[in-house]
Amino acid sequence: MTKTLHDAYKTCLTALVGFAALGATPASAFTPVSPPADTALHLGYERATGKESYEAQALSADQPAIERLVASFQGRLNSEMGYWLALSRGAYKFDDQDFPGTQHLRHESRVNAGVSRSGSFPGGAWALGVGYGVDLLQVQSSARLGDPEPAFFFSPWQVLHGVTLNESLRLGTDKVSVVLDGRWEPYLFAHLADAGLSMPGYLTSVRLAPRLSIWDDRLSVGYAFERVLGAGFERHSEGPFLAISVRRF
Amino acid sequence: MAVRNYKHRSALLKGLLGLSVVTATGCSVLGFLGTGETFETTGDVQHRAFNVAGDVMVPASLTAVAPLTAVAPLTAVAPLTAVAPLTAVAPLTAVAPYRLLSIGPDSPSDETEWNDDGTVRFALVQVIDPMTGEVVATTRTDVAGRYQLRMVLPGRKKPYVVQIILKNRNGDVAGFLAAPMGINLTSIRDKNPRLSVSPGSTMMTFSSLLMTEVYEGFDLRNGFLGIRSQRLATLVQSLPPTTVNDASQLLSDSDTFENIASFDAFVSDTATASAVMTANVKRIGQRAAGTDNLSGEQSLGYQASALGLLVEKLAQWKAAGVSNQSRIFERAADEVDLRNVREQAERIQRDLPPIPLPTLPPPPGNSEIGIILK
Repeated sequence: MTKTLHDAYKTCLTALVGFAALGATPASAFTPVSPPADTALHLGYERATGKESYEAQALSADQPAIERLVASFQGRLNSEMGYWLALSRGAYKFDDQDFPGTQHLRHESRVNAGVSRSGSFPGGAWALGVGYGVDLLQVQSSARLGDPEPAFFFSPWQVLHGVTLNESLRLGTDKVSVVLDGRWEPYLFAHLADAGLSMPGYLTSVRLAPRLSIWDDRLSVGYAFERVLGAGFERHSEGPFLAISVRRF
Repeated sequence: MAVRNYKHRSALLKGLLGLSVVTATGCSVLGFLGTGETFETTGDVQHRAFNVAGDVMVPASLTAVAPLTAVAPLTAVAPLTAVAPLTAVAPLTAVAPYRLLSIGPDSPSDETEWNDDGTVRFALVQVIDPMTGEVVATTRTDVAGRYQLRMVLPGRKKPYVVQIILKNRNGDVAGFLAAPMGINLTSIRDKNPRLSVSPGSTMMTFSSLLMTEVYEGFDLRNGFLGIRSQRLATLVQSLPPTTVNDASQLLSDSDTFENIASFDAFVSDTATASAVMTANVKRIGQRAAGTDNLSGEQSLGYQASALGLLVEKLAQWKAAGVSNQSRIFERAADEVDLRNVREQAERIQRDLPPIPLPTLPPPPGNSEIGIILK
C-alpha cells in the first residue's frame, strides 16, 4: 500500500513537471539530434523499469524504478550541420535475488557528443548524427560479498563506451508532431572493476524513443526502449519520459 | 527581444524548478539533480539463495513389475538389521541395526506413479534439516520425475537430507529414496546444484546414518523427520550435491541395482551396500588417524572427511567414464589420499560447535552374515 502511494506520489510530481513545462518556451526533443534550427538546451526526465541478465553466473535482476535526468546542449555549425553534447544521470536500486536482503544501488552517468546533419521532406524532417558515448555505472551494495569469486552485481563499477549513431525522424506540424528518436551504439567497449569477472563480448546498445512533440517541441512526452545486448548478457529498460527544451537563447 | 529572452529564461527556470522538485523531495533515488542517494554497506552478505533440481528415480527394472499404486507394501521392516554388522571394522566400533520406515504424501494432487525409465512422477520431495529433524521445504516432481526447489540459507553452509516416500494406492509404504545434500555456497556459481534422488544417493544417505547415534530412532513411518543429530549433519555436510550426483550415477548403474524386482529387494540391497560403504569409510578414517583412540569429535571428523573423499573418488571415476566395478568401495577406499583425509578431518573438527557429541550406541555383535574388513 505504502509503495503504491509512493508510486502515485512520484507520478503526480512527474505530471507537475509537465504542467510547468507547458508554460515554457518552445522545447525540443529528448534526444538532441532533432533538426538543429537553433541552439537549444534540453531537459528530460525518464522513469523506466528494467531487467538484466548475466549468463556467466546465471544472474538476473528486475530493476523496478530507474530514474534518469538528461541535460543536453545542441548548436549549429551551418544550415545543415549541428553538434550536441548530452549529459545524463540516472539511479536505481534493486534486490539481489541470489543474496536475499542485499540491495544494489547503481548510479549511471552518461556523456555523449557528436555532430549531426539534418534535412526536411514534405511533412517532416530528419536528422542523422554520429558521435562517441561513455556510460559509467557505479554500484554500491548494502552488504559485502566475501567470496573468492566476485559476483557481477557487486562489481563496484562498469564502463561502456563506443561510437554512437543517432537518428531523428519527425512527422507533423509545428503544433503537433510525432518524432522517432533512435540511438545505436554498434559496438561497445566494456571495462569492469573486478578482474575476476568477464564482461560479455560484442556488446551493442539500441535505444528507440517515440514521442509526441507539442507546440513546436515546447513539450515532448514519449516512451523509450533501451537495450544493451552482448554474448550472454542483456540489459533492458523501458518507460515514459518527459522533456522540455529552450531554444534560441 | 529583451521580452523574448526574459520568457526563455523564465521557462528554463520553471523547468529546472520542476525537475528539482521531483528529485529533491526524497521521492527519487537520483537525489537532488542527480547527485544521488548513497548506501551504507552494513556488513557481509547474510543470506544466500540456491536452486536445487534433479530427478527422482528408482531402478528401471522395478517399473516393469507393476504400477507403483499396485505394488505390495514393504515387508522389510528392518532391512539393515541383518547387515549392520557389516559396518564393523575390527577393532573399530560398528553400529547396531536400524529400521527403515518412511512417510508419504498426505493428499497428492496427482497419483504418484513411476515412468518406464524409472523416474517417479508427482512424488512428494521433502527436504529435512538434520540439526532439527524438521521438514524445511517440500515440492513434487513433475510428470517427468523432475523436481526443483529454491531455498535461502543463513550463511554459506547447510546440510540437508532429501527424502521421498513412495506409497501404493492403499497408502502403504512401498518404497523409500533419499539423498544427502551438503550445501556449500562458496561461489556464486554454486547456486544451482543438481541432485538426483536415486538408489545411489539413497545408499550414501544410509551410510551417513549408520555412522550416527540416531540410527536406532530411524523409523520408516517418519523417515528422517524428527532425526536430530550433529553427527548426521556433519557427515551430510561433507557430501556436496554435485559430487553426490555424479557418484550416485555410478552407484545406481552398478550391478547392485540390476534386475531388481521388488522394493523389498531394493531396500535390502541398498542397505547391504551402504553397510559395506560405511565399513570402508571407517577403514579410511582408521588408516588416516593411525589409532583407534579417538574422541567422539575426532572420530566424526575422520569419518566425515573419509566419506566426503570416498564419494569424491567415485564422482571422479564417473567423470572419467569408469563404469561397473566389482568391490567398488574397497577400490575407492584404497585410492583415497590419507593426507587429505587428515587435513579435512582437522578442519571439520574445528568447525564443530563446542557441544559434546552424544555417545554412540554400543557396537552390534558380529553376526554370521557379517564380514570383518581388515
